[in-house]
Amino acid sequence: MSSIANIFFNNAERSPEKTAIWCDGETITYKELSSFVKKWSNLLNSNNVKYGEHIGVLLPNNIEFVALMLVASNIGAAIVPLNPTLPASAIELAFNSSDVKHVIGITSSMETLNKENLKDATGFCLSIDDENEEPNSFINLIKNSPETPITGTKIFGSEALILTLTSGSTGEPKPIVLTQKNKIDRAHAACELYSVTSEDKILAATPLYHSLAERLVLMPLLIGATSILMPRFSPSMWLKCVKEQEVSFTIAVSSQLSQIAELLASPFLPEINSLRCIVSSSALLENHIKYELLAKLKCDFHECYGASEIAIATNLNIVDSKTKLKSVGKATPNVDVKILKEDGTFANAGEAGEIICKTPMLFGGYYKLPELTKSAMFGDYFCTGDLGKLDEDGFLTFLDRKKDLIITGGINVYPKDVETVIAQLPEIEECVAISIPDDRLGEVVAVALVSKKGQEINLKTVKFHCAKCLADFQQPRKYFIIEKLPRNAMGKLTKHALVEQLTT
Amino acid sequence: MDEKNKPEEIKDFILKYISKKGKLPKDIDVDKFNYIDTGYIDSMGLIKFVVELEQKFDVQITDDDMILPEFRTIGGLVESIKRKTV
Repeated sequence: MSSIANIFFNNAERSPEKTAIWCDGETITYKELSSFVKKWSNLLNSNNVKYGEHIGVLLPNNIEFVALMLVASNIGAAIVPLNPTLPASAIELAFNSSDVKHVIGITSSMETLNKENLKDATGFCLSIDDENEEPNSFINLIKNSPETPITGTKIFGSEALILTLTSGSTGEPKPIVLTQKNKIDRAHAACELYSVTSEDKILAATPLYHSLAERLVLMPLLIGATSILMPRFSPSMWLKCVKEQEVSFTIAVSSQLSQIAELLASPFLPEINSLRCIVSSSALLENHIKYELLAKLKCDFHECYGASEIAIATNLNIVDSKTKLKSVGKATPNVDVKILKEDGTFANAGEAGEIICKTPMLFGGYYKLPELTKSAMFGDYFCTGDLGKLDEDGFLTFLDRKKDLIITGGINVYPKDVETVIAQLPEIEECVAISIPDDRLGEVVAVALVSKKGQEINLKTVKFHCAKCLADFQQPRKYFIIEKLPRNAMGKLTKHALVEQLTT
Repeated sequence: MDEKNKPEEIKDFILKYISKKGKLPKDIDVDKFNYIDTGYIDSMGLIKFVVELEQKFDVQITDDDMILPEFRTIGGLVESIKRKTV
């Protein structure tokens, strides 16, 4: 099997002068990127970064991040990219649980880490934003590194390329292993599903430490198209970028599209006519938002459903399926979606149960967690932890989450992570994190707090503690101090009753 | 006595914080730079940013402050924190 890097190198030979990536005003051609990747691969090789080893990555969206994905593919290593805004303790925990040996990042993120807490990271540490003239600055190291091909490393495709972490700060992290073959299959499946060709300009506007943006930057590089990478997201920057870079295809998370739709209501915006197709992922968009986007952006519009473990499972073409807009569409080619009832049998049309999915794009398991991986499977089907039903035409409707999870702006927050952090405060008897609806982000985190007898809760202290110990997307937006939590006759917390009590 | 919350100190903290999201463009007027419209602080990151400013500079930033145009630029935010410093 050809590695991702080799497929890219072949494309670079075919179209050396074509723009491979645009990011934040900088462009790099296929030829230049190919040279950069080869030099960086040799730099890592000469610093004992070996086949099968793990590189922790603390980078914002930039060309170097994309290049590093190709470098890892080229030498058979895996990257473990994390949100650089995570607290140092969470980064250390995640790196340790993923056996990270080497770390590459920007100085401001790397300097917060305590090396003594990183038990395995004894290898190469590289800051890529040193712009000084020192011989060991990244620029000089790359300049002096040879461009010769890497020899002696055979890539089979089953190697882990990316370990992606969905959990956060306190719970045991669950690194999701995505192999080179996974990434190639997923990129090709998306290209086929949405008829993406080498003529397309494909926009990635979510963070590269999530699988969606990784797919969106690999898709163009694997087919010889151009990647447009936004360094950060804001609705006005998105529109500007789509207009100026003539973006033709993108997959966006629904909370981004809600914000873009809000901005599109302004009469002073320039017309956008380069878009051929947009796909919304992560949560269902409200119908009025879909219609606003359709009217203004004048392109094909799809909604998809999936997860990092399985990639895209179902897809809905909004224009072709106007009577099915409450669904998330039908299974994509080669994917089988079923509904599993609690008694372990498959549901009939119209019956609710857990959404399970059999796909050739299945992940490589949770890293070093065979029991957890096994428990997430029902035979060949991955159990999504979501509840849904299929109609007689095979359209899937998402009903609820079986897992205790809050999805804010397309990113998973595990309530347990937030609760564990707040419970560290001595005045807190109990704490429960819940999801509340939000116009911009879909859902946001709220917490209900019960104080210990005779003690008072100072919200300022709780907020400061959360800011110190949780990442930006995990921060609670609302705090409720209550006397006691609602419980059923068995003493079990009734979360639905709590949500109702606090939001009505 | 040392002045509390010097403008340069506030500005340095803000610049260091937002640079985690990427390098700032060269040749910009830092004071007028809108770090929200350019995505350095997005709707997801706003709360942590504000709470860290409150803690670092011992000020209170309200929801009303956050909707003011001056809150969106580095210079405006520095001024606002300076004014709130007692």
